[in-house]
Formats: sequence, C-alpha cells, structure tokens
Amino acid sequence: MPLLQVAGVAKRFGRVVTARDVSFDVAAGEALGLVGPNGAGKTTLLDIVAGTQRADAGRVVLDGHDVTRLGAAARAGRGVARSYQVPRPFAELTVYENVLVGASFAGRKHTGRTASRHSRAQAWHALEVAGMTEAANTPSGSLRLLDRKRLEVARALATGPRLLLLDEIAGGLSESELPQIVSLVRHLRDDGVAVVWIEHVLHALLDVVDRLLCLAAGEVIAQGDPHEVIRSPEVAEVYLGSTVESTRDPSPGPTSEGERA
Amino acid sequence: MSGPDVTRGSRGSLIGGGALLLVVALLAAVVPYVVTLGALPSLVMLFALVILGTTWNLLAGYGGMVSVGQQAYVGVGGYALIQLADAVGAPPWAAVLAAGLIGGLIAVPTSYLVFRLAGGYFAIGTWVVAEVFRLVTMQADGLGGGSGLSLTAFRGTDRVERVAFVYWFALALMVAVVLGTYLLMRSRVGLGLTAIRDDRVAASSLGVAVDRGRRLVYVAGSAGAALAGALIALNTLGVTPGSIYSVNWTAAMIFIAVVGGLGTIEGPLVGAILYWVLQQTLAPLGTWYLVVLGAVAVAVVLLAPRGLWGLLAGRFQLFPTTYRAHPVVVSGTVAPQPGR
Repeated sequence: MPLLQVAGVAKRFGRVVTARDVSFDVAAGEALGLVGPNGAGKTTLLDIVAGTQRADAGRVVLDGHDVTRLGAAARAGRGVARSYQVPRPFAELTVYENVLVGASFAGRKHTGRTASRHSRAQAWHALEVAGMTEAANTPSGSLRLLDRKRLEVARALATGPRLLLLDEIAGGLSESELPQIVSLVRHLRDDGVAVVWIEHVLHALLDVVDRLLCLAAGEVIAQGDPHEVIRSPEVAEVYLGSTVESTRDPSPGPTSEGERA
Repeated sequence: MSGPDVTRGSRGSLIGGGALLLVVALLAAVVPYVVTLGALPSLVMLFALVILGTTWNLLAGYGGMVSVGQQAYVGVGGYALIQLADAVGAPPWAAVLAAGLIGGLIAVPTSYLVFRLAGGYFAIGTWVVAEVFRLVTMQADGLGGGSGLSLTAFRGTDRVERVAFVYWFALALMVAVVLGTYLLMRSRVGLGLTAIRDDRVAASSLGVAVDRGRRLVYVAGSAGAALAGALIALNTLGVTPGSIYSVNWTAAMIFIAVVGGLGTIEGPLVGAILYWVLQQTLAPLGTWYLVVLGAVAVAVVLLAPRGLWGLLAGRFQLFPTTYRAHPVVVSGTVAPQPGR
C-alpha cells in the first residue's frame, strides 16, 4: 500500500481550474518530483495534500486512512510536513524556537515528564541535519534567503515526518548554494522519508527524485521515469508552448503560485 | 539522540525576579501601614489595571487578536460579583473568583461568534458585542436598569477591615494573573501561541491547533477582564452600566499594553504604572488629562515601537520565556543552568 494516495482531486478558483481529476501515489521512502509551468496548480496540489486547502472533489489517503476532511494541524500530527515557497519563519522567534515548535507539536512522540526533553533533542537533531546549529539563537527574521529555506526544511524535519512536501526550496539560490539543499533532500529520502518536491531548477530535482509528475493547467500530463517524462513530447509542448491547446481562458488570470509570492 | 543545553533567562532575570518579589512583599506587608486608608482603593485600581493590561496583552500580543470589546467582560465581572455577593450571598472573595469564571464561560460561545470576523472586523465586532452586553444588562430584571447596582454585602463590616481585605485580595489576584500568564507563555502552549501570532498558516502546518489556541487565549483573557471588573466593583461598591461597560476600559488596556510593550509580560506592568500615575496626577486637569495620555501614546509609538519596556530593557526579560540552545559541552565542567 502506498504511503500517500491522491485520487480524483479537483479544485477551481472561479473559472480557473487548478486541479482536474488529479491522481497519483507516493510510496514510503520514494521521492516524487512535481514540475509544470507557472499556474499549473502545483502549489495548490501541495496545499490540498497538506490540508491547508480543501479540494472540491476527490480524496487524500495517508497510509490507508482517508484524511480528506482533516485540517492541516491534524495531518501534520500524522506525519505530513511541508515547506513554503516563500519562507514563513516565525520572525520574532529564534531559529531554535522555530524548530522547537515543530518538535513540540506535530513531532511530539512522548508525553509526561520526558516530553520536553525529547522535543528539545528532536529540534536540535533537525538543526544538525540541516546544518544550522551555529545559527540556533539567531532571530529568524534576520536570516538570509538560503538559511530561511533551510529553516523551512529543518522545521518540517523536526516534526519527524513520513511525508515531506517541498515547494521550490532551490528557487532563488545561487549555483554554489544548490548542492547543500540537494544533498539535504537526498539525505532525508535515504533516511526513509517520502518526498514530494516542486522545483523549477530541474537539474537539482533530477539529481534526487525517483519519479517525475508533470502538471499543466491542473491536469497530470505525464508521470513516470524522470528522464522519460522530461523528454516526452507532451511535456516539451507545455514548456515550449508550441502547439498547446489551452484548456482554460486565453487570459492568463491569477495563478495560485504567482499570487503567493 | 541527545539534546542541546537549553537556558531560559539569565542571571539578570533571577536578580530582577528577586527584586520584583521584594516589591510585592513591600506592597503586602509595609505599604498598607504607611499610606492613608484613602490611598488603598487607588492602589487597588492600579492592581486592576495591571490585570486588564496583562489580559489584553495576552489577546493582542500573544494571540494576535485586537479586541476593542473587552469592556464586555469587565461589565459581566462587575455585575456577576454584585449578584453573587448580594443575591446569592457568597463571600466576596469567592464571588470575585466565580465572576471571573462566569466571564470565561460567557466568552466560550461568544468566541464562536467573533472568530468569524478577521482583523478590523474582529475589532469592531467585539465592540458591538460589548454594547449588546450592556443593553441586555440594562433591560434584564433585577439588575437595576440604567442606574445599576450597589454592593450591600459589606454593610456592617468595619471600613478599615473592608478596605484592607480588598487591597490584599486585589494584590494576590494581580500576582496570580501575572504569574499565571508567565507560566502559560513559558510552557509549550505559550510557544504554540507565539507561533500562531507570527504566522498562523505555518503554525498549523507544524501541528499547532490554531483555532483551539486562539479560543484558549480569548477565554483566558476574557476571564481575566471579568476578574478585574469584579475587583473594580468590589472597590467602588457598585456598578452602573455606563461606567462598567465603558469602552474606556479597553482604551486603558490598549494604552497599557501598547505603551508598556506588546508581547512581553513586563510591558503591561510598566504601562499600568504609567497610566495610573498619569491618572493620579492629571485628574484635576480635566480634559487635558486625555490630551496628555494621547500625546504619550503617540510619542511612544513613534519613538519606541517596542514599547517602554523594550526601550528600557532591550531584549532583557524579567520573566524569561525564550530559549537559548547550545551544543552540549562534552568535556570539562558544565556551567550551572540558571532558569531551569
């Protein structure tokens, strides 16, 4: 049984369709890349899996349990963690305190007297994995972009996730900064965490993922082996826009991803 | 998996905490015997202001909820106290505590109403709710209509004994509310509340139950406002709907929390003392009193955006709620950990 099953998910904002009958699975410990042009509905799909948005139709099943009706906090408690495309640190808190939030809520595996000791250790471990212990007591509002992105991952990691949803963690980073983020994700995947990763920096993505899924205008147009998907004519079409038949209004309209920035 | 060394607060926090303890001891054991009997009720008002500022700060500074309607619960507390003490015959101390409880209970259903509103609408909505509370109180039988109620439970009690009792009781309540707020904000729940304030969406993604957290803050903050209302009614021996449900209470709370320092435990203490001193010294000036209050508020917001406490103390905390984490020192001696 796959860890995550997304079945027939649909979502629209007014006349803009951001998901139409989207179905896919992710096995435990598998890394799935999510690509597609801007406005294809990638972030919306992540929101629907994480529970920050409700789908109009379809189901999200986690480890055999239907979680479609659960909120984001409850899903986080069941092992779903995510990072945001535009980092959302708790700006008044330090890096360590940010991570401690994840460890003491969704990541809380113990109760009673030892609970806070376990949470602290778990938070520290997440910082170690993300290579951020040096910055532990820095106010998170003053971090530079690479560290904000790493904090997003560290915080998600502190919840002890089984499924990690990453939204463009490599975007905006320099070529010299990329390897750090890539090796962090690979390390997590190798540790048995399932990953769904949206990324425009393709070579970073292809370094890590086992499978690739391409979305366009809310529909899955290809999924499978990463290199085959990238070379497939459908994917080339939507990226190069040669003979694409638009499935929605000719006007670009607001896109869920563009609006988020 | 081994954890870090975590310190909360510094040696300064211990010294400051000790100094604060000394102030409380002086207020309890020395002040009542050196000031005039007439001065004690005005000190009770100071204690009530500290409670009001602390609980509004809990709402706005930690819960991110800017309510303009906390006078609803000040009023409920005042009326509940008089009804419980006079009509039911409860001892005054029990009536005050029960009035706080009633304020909290009423806040539960009210939260479902006002939580449907966001931002500015929440602020206005809470004010509307407070007006509704006032109008309902005036219409209800046995609550004295527009002229309010007088507290009769103290008839036959010696004046000195009454004033002294109210003073000590108010002091104890203030200490309990400030300490309770501190312990809440120092706990795991407090960390979650701070996360909710900074980013609600990110907090929920990390497993913080956002709605439950905000409701907890609203109910606790409203119970605190009701406690203060009960103390005010106990202190002035009566309530009128116009004064106890006055929006001025919330204006005072906002002044105290914002001028003192939002989102800190210490800020409302500083703000309440400043507000109280201004009130005491400027009262004879009439309207000019409000002009000065306004000028002080504007000056602080412009010159010290973190409030007076932030200006005076920087990041220093008398009531440490933050964490500092360091790698565990493997060899050599480990320094003692103040605070925990």
